[in-house]
Amino acid sequence: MSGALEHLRVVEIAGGVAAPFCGKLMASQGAEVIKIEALPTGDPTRSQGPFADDPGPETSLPFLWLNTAKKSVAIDLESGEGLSLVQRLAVGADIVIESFPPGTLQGTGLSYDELSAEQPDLIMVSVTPFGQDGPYSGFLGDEIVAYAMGGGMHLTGDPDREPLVGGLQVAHGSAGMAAYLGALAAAFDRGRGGGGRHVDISIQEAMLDNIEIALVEYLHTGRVARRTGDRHALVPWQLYPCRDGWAAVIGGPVRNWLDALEDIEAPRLADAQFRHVAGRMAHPKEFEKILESWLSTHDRADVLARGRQHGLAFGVLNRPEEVLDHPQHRERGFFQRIDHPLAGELVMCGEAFRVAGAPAVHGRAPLLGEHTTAVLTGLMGMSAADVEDLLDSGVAAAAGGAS
Amino acid sequence: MGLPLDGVRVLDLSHDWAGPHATRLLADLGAEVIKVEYPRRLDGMRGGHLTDGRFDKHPRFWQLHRGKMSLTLDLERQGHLERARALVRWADIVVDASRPGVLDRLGLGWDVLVAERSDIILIQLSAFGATGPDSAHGGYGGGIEPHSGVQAFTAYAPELPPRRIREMDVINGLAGACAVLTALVRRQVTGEAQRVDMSQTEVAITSLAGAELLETAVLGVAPVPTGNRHRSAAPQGCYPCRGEDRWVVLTVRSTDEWHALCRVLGRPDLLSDRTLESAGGRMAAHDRIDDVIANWTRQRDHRAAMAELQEAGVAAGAVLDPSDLAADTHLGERGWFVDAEDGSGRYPGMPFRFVGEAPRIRRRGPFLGEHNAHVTTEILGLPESEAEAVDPDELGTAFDPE
Repeated sequence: MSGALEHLRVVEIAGGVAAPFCGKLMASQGAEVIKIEALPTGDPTRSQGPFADDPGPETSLPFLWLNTAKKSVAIDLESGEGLSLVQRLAVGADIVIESFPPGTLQGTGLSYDELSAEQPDLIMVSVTPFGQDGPYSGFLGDEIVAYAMGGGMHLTGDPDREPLVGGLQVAHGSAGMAAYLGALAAAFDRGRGGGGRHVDISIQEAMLDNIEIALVEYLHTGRVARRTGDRHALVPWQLYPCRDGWAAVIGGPVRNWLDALEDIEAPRLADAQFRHVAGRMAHPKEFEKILESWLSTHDRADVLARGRQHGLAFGVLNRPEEVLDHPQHRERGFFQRIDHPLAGELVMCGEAFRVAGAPAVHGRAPLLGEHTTAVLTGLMGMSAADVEDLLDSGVAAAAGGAS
Repeated sequence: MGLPLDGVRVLDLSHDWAGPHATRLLADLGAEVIKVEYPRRLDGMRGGHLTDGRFDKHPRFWQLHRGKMSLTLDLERQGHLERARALVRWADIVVDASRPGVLDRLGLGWDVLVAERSDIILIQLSAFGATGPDSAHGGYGGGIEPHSGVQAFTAYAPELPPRRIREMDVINGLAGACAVLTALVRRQVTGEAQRVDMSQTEVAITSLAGAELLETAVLGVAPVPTGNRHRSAAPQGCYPCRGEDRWVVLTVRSTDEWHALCRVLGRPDLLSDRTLESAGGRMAAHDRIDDVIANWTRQRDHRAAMAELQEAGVAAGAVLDPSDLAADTHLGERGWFVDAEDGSGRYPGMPFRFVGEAPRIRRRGPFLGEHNAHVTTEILGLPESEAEAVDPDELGTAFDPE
């Protein structure tokens, strides 16, 4: 076997980040993911930079990242013939992923109601900024909007400054993974006779999962959490500057802290007032002044080694270049070099988890329409002549400019 | 229609946040989850105090363990390892979030699990994965976020300190639940035992920083933090509103949206300024545009500003705090917050929903050992006299020095 999900077929008709990320996760675990790209331009992400080389639809790094190991079928979705081809592909799939604004698909033959009438076992995953219904369902969204409305932004940044957006796609990454979970929970139940389901992912709600503790504490105690810079409730439990960068001095497991002081030669850290974590939390500034003075004469690697020697979960801030070359990742083969015919050599990080005996799939992203002919003739059983007609009439397109 | 994981059984050996978040999602989906608790070192989410039963009174614990059962076990005590092994026979899935090797030391390694149940599923969520030079070390979100590189991308400006986004435990819990479902779906096909190795550091990278690291590798330069601004679209930012610590964000991604923004701001002069027609031109004038936007937002409530901007076709959002969210009309109409069926109050909802099915939360996270009797008699099939009572004198917390 190759890939834990090799028996699943997924049709993805989606743009943005969260929905294609869900498809990418499925493809990495071996599912056959057929990405429907609307002609003439394909997934709008293809036009987004930065680009690996000269800007063009095959060199967009965000596209190349989000679509690894998928197949691309390029279809004119404005034509009735094109829509009906996609509908047939969707009906034959286990899972359909879509990201259109709520209501858009109604009447096209591709809505959940229409597809499930043909195939009651179908699982459809709809990923939108605010979900399929409710007063905000027509609102526009983007990462910063989702992070703000999903409660993350209020809690990120410094208390005396404006809230800060996460520098990465936190809401969209969470939503893509939530979509995967919802789809597979439905797939599991269908496998024992539970039928099809329509999974509604609101990127806002997926983001809210990230602040579950702040939310539940408000609901049960009325306390409204605020942003605190990098400060954690426990002390020490954050990044501090050291001689060559930033070290994460994490005083946990708490039971190991006092032992570690043997190797953090700052005797005043062992003062009675700092011996218990409650004392460190009560006097963080005095404690940190001593700690930071010691850190200023030590390098990250040294700090890390001293903490680890005593079982503390210290860390260091790795710069992106260092992450790419980290011995742990090298040993586990986490980053792979993947050749792309137009974008050149790419470096992709691996799958989220490793299922023993079902190795993940590390393919490159497809060219626009790269698999049109193969899918139409193979999966859909069309004759070469019929496919030729579709390509000639512009209903479909194959990579290499057949139309 | 039942819940999708009705009848699925989970033996949860994890603690703190990521592992429990994974099993919380499974419990929400209908799985029967037994949380095994070690009385001499309680779950960190039970806090550092043993007086007045405070370890049973943390809303965060109620949230993270909602719908689960609590069983206390001390594997060093006579007969308890046998009970754990009997529970492996009962379970479909074992979730472990300890350092690689700890499970073996406890007498519950992979070979033991498979011997007890030939189609067991084991998910191990460790800080760095089961192999490699770092594998023996533990980790928390506070170390994983910088170690994975994720924290390098968030700051007000490149020269200012990196800031945490703090969600490593949740994204890792979500990934852990995904790993469980992947293994369950595969087991349906093969009928065989499944073992999954999950590195929380790798999850952080794959789910959040994959595109940025690809860019770093290909272009030879890493993207630098840009605060609240977008790297290429403009304007984008976080703007002050009426009231204390009230803000609205907006982002303009196209010329149409720029025109819409100018109309909302009542600034036809900007609309006709040709130097601002391109994103690059607006980026160059970002400070000036920010002043105009802030003058407009300062006179408005954060939610009113959002509504006005969205109405005009500009992607905007109020920065919502937990109290705003609890009262939000959209989330209210979607029924996102859920009242638990045990009457213990209201809880945050799920990160997704199934259309036409109301989400259910059965009960708050359990009191310590609340299900000792139930598990002993109903699941292990032992007489009630075998159920252990929690002995207050033997309790310890995760925060005690040793």
